[in-house]
Amino acid sequence: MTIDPVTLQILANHCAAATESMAHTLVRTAHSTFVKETEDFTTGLATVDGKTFASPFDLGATWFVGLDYEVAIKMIDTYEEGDLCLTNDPYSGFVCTHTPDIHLWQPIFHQGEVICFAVGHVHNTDVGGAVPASLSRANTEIFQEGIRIPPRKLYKRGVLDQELLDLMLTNVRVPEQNWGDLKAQIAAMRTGARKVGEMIDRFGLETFRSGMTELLDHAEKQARRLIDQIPDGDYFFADYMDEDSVDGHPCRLAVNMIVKGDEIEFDFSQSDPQVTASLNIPTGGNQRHVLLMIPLIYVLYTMDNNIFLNSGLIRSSRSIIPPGSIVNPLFPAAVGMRSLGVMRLMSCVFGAFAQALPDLIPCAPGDGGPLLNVRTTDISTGRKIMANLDPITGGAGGTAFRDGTDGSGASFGFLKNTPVEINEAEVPVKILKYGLERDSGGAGKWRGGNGTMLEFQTRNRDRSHFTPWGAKGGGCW
Amino acid sequence: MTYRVGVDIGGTFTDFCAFNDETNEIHTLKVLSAPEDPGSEVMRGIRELHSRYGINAADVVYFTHGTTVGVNTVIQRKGIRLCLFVTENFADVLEVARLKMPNPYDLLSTRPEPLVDRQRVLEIRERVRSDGRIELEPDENNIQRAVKKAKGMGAEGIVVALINAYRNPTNEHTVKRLIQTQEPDFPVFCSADVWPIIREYERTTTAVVHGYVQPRVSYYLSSLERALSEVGVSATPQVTKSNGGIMSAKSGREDCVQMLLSGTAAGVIGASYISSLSGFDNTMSLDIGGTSADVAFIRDASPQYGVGEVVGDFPIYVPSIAVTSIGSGGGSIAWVDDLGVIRVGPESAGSTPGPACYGRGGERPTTTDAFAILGYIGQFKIGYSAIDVDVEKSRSAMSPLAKRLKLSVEATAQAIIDIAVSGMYMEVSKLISRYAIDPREFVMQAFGGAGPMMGCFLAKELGLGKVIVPSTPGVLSALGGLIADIKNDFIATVYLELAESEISEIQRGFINLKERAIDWLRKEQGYKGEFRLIYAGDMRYRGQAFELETTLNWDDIHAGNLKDLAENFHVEHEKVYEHCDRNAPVQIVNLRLVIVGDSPKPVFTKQVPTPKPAQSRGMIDVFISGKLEKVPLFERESMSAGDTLTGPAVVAQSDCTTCVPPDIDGEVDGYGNLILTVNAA
Repeated sequence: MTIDPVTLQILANHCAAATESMAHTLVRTAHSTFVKETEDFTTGLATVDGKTFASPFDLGATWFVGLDYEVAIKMIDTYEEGDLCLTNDPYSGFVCTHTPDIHLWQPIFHQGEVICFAVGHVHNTDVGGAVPASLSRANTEIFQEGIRIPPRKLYKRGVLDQELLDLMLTNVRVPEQNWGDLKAQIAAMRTGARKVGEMIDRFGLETFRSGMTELLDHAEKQARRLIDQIPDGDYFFADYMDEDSVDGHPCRLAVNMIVKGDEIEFDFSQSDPQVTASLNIPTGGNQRHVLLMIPLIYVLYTMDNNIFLNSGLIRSSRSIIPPGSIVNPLFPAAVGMRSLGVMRLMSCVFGAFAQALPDLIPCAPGDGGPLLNVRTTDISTGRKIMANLDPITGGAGGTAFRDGTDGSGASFGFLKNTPVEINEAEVPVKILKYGLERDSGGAGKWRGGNGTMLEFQTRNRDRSHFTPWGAKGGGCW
Repeated sequence: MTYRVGVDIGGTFTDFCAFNDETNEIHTLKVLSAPEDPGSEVMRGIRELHSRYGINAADVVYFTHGTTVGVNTVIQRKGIRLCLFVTENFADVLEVARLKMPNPYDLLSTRPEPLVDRQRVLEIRERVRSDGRIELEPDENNIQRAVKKAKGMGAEGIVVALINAYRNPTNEHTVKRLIQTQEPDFPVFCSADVWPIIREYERTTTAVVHGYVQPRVSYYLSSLERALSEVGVSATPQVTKSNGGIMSAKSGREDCVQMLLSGTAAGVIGASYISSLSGFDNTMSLDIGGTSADVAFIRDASPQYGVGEVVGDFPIYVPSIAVTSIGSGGGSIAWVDDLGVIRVGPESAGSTPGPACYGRGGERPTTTDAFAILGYIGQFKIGYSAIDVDVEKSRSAMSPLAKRLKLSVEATAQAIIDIAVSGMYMEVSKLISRYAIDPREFVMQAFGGAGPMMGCFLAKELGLGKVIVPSTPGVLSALGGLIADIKNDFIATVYLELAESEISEIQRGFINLKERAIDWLRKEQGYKGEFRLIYAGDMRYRGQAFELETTLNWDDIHAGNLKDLAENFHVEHEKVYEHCDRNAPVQIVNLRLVIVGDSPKPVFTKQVPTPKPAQSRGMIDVFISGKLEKVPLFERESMSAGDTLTGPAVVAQSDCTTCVPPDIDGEVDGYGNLILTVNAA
């Protein structure tokens, strides 16, 4: 059955609304600031083959459009009504990309048959392991990055597997927060199932079913049309991370991008082998893994803001990722800080696109993004405080027709800062200066965006509670 | 004979609503707005009220007025040339904003240009700490130099926004005094006077928008006051506010940031009141104009409030009725993308050139043209004959699209309506889940020029059971102004623990707000009647990065009843986030107080409905689900309480058209509202 274009557009609107509703349910009921403030989560709907065909636009992380749940879904033999599955293992299923991301999927049934899946993840604050928050660049193997749960059913026919949950919560630092976020995710899955039910009622089962595939097909057509506008050719680019481990050597990411007609091949063969630090990008050998394809999606979206954001966009492209390389690490390489690797991979692929589309693609963004954490004692209350002051971020790259945006670039345009006044009111610090570092953006007719800078003053942790003594009524406090 | 007159100036039309105090009759009027000469349309309308309804200016005893002058000044960037004085080392506050990009997927996304260019941001040596302690007072020489520099750059006004001024505005006031010693006539705006909230970007941008528009708005209001008194209107003019209240025009000249979103807010107040009259306390208000659809939810007869409502490109943080604007309206342009899929919007034909059928030069097909082609509009006069609908122009605008799609012109029109409605469905669904609303418990109030045209279609998609079309859907904002109460908000940021040691400071803070509030109402507004005070706190669990506004009880505050004060917050948290933690320490970040003086409301007479089928004015041809059908046309003005109708039907009136699809029944209630009920499938 083919659907007329009008119905397809209407169905697209309803599918987007369904995933937005899932996201709102999640935000409303979640506990952790990762969900509420940094919006590090996703919600979506996927076909029975695990291809996501709908995601929210306004809410959630922007790196996972078109995430492929196929392998994970197929690791479970049978699905029954009321089942709910999860995994956070970067080495099984290849839907999860580092351990704090707990992914869920729930089969949505209609008259006894699985029609599609509600899917999504939340970045949990901690899943155990060597360091609080489970992530450190210094980790050298996955075993240090917390508990790993391969694809398993958390609910079987509507009944919670308490043993699995206990096992998981026993191994983490703030179990009530994980459980709180999990409950919020489960609520989001239920919202998704309800919304799909409503769509089947509204459009009919057959229309909805063919609609899912046609939404993917349509996005594929859109992508092919856009890729067709990119001049054919081989475009090579390499970029480096400063260190492959703590105080280590530079680490190379390289791509040879071959554009041919309406297809693209990204050959990452000349990238470095996997590294000791946790910068590796776990793709499980999937040639269309979303972490490899996200720069393509950004470029397509920049070419045309009207494209459907779903996994159909990446069908016409593939990558070559040698096993044991930084873009296809082998078990048990650490992957916790893969976001740093991904940022540089994006910059590298943008470098190739910039040769093909010099008038459209901006120069490399500043990336960066050390999160400044302060640990101190509030002397007025004696409370120990650990606070995140601000992300220090580079600007966007200069474009062909205007300067790059200050303080916010391509790879983390979703990030928010913390107001000076909030920092001063909540953390015993004095902010001396906050703003843009002038002329840090790189010169040129159209310069790059300036990076942000922060100067602050805080008290020494010692002698802040028990202050140095004075004499004759004097003293310090 | 005395009249109350409400006026709302919109982008295209200026609406008038005149209420006769003796007969309780409502007269309505629309004239074209005159953005190039704001105020002249009000005069024109007053004259027309006389010629059309015999209303004398001298008989107008109550006058409320909402205007888009401020919003337009921001959108068109025609405000004054401002300089911004900030604390040394924090000069990038407007440029950095909150970092986040408007469209994170787009590599070329960028933040909007600030209203004050970075060159015109000047650093002042001074410092206040977060507890309000003054570490460094402003220095006279330093200010003098800055003022000189500002003058040299052609500044026409200065906004002073210093770090931590929310806690202690002394330094801002000192800077203002020093500027005005040097330049006595220079407009100076202090951020803590405009709206003293914590978060420097939010407070600064609010103050900047305020300063940017204030001289224009003030000039406009003075001219209007003068003109009104010249034509003999005896009433003291009131202006509507973003918070759904009103204040004197005189206050409006100073507090113009409070009235930027007044038109949409007054519409929600009007919708809320009409729904309550008809017995519905849970309402979704849907105000569709040419370029956008404004949606608000009213629960238990009170609207939701929000901060960070957007004016032009900028959020402002004064308390406003939460209205979400969807970029889709009667003028949204339909187009076909390169893969042959129909899209509607976001581009709009606006009021000029407007839909093709308005015959004002519009050549691209819009949603309104689609309705004209199907026969819903254009077979009778609309809009006080201000505009004649030419269906042929719609058809010729539509035919290129139809050809590309290989569909008939009518099928294309139907597709455009379906897609426009589903786009609205998507946006409204987000709000429904954000506010955790069960649509089955809500009725839709459809108004604005295109609301009644599209309302039923959207209600069916959303699963709302009823659509109310008020008797004057085209002028509901003007009517809302007549219903709105005198109202003002007060805030003090305190950042205190909800604890024994700090309760006296909380009490002092509220008493101070109360004194200021009563002063405002009695002295500034000259209001002598009864008033209400609503106390609230922005509260959170220690460690949370966001606050929840929680209504508090004065007796609990007065008695220092910490447990009950905290319990209010736990309950609110539970309601919004579905969990709470009664053992966690609670903080109160802002103290809030709202003062409300009841305005004298118009009395709406209730007729006893006599159920009978409405008298149709004849049958017209309308395409329904692809087939041409004979559909009854009703004239709204001649319908009376108890009149019933069955869809499909078209109800025409002077300021809009109501489209009633099949499976919907209608009835006029005792207040003249058309209540449309969706039949359960």
